[in-house]
Amino acid sequence: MTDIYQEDLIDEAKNPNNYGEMADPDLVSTQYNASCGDVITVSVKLSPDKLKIADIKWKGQGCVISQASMSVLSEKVKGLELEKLQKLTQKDVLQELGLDEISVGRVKCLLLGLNTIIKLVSK
Amino acid sequence: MLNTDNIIRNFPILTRVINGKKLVYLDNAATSQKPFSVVEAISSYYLNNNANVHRGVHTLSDESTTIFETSKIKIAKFFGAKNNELIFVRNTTEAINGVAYGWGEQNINSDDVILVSILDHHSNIVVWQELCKRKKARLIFVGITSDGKFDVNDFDAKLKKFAGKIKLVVFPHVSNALGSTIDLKIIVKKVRATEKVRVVEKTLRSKNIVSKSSGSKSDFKFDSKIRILVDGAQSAPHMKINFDNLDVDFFAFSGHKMLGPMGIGGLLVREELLITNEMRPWLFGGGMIAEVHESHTIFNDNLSERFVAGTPDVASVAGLAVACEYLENLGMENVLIHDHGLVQYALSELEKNKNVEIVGPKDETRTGSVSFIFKGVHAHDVAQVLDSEGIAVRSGHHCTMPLHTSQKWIATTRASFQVYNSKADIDALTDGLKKVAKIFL
Repeated sequence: MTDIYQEDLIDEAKNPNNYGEMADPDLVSTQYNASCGDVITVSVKLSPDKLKIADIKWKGQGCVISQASMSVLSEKVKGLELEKLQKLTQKDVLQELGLDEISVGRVKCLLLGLNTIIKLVSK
Repeated sequence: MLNTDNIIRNFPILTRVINGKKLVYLDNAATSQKPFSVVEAISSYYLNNNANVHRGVHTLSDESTTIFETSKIKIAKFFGAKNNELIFVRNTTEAINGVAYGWGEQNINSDDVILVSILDHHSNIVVWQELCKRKKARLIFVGITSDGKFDVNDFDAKLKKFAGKIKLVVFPHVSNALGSTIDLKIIVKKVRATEKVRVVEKTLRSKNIVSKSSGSKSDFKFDSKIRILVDGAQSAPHMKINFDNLDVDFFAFSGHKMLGPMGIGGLLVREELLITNEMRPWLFGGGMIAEVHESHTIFNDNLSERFVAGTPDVASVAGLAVACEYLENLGMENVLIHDHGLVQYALSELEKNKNVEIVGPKDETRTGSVSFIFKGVHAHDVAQVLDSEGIAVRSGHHCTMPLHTSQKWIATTRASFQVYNSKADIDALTDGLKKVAKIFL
């Protein structure tokens, strides 16, 4: 298997981007990973026309994969159109993390952040 | 016809000698034999990959999850269903119970009508009797014609008589007792046409175009949807099922009758019913959840995973996928032609015996089995003598007591077929029946 625990990935999880709480969010959502209990809460501020993510903050507990992927995702979606955001896939998250593939057992960890954001903006 | 000489080599059990005679297995409607590849898939899983699915990070758990998920995709595809629409259960009986608990409990109310066929297996009768008892609903039987076919005229009459009350229509795709095959297209069309008439009437009334007094009060509460459940236990082994083209709501099948392992089967549910929550989980616990809190639980987002509570039978799912592959390699069109060839040959050979009275249809619509009464000899005695010749048939009421009672049959003897059966097996049966006559008559 590919070594998923590359140094920068562990760093990303240890020092995540956009980590924290937002004073006055437009949308908030919490999602759990049913298989292990990892949790992520995402808060979002939308652009005035409600078409883009203006700002994002998130907090969570979990494995390196779930936290690092949420961290890179939070950078990617800042300023992104909601329409484009909803089209992001597993492949995009892997790419952001610099990984080629991930084992089946870790797919849910990888996608916890993405699923949380997509659910949030789909409301 | 299929090349049974080659096929038999894949079924080690068929080389057994029973009472000094080569086994002739004609009890396939009860359960089929399993090819070596199915048994190997099961043992290989336990010997090499066994671990619990979905909740592990380690390699074995990954392998197990992959085997489970790829097998599920294969099985759903075999039935022409979406992956989401396949819910694993133990067998057809459990699938039907699932519809009663997951759908019936919240959709059947007092005074509602469930239409059932007299051809139905006990599993598609008792479940609805019990639900009707709980809900004070009514179970109405559709009869058969004199040659043992589903009586379409009676069905029409009952659709009309109970219009507005009928919430569910259930019937066997192929009768396990008589081999009568129901043309799904005809039945579905009739049911859906009934719905349309009701919707039009309802709309006209709501716009006061039709006088309100023309219908009883309860008509106004009427929801035009009628759900259709097909018991596919006896059709899935012999013919191609394209669930997404059938326009039925539920289709139940057993793996063990279609060369797969015992203890695994499926309930196919039309996706819309899962999305709208019209069909809800009826078993609760681990695996089917997204979040569990002290006060409440949120179910799994995945439409069919939310129906799998607890550890699934991964080995049997793997075995069933291989059984589907085996049938697919033979080609389901060829499998059906083979079966119809055997049925017609059996009918013509048995008719030559003046002691034999064939029950059920005799035309090309008959699928899977031939049942008969041996005049003057009880079916159990017939089966016992046949066993002494190494021939396995089933005798009794075949879990269709209401059918047997309605026709005043005490018991019947049934020979049922699979891909490994040949005309030689039917010749063995007709020879065996000569021994029956010699002993008892």
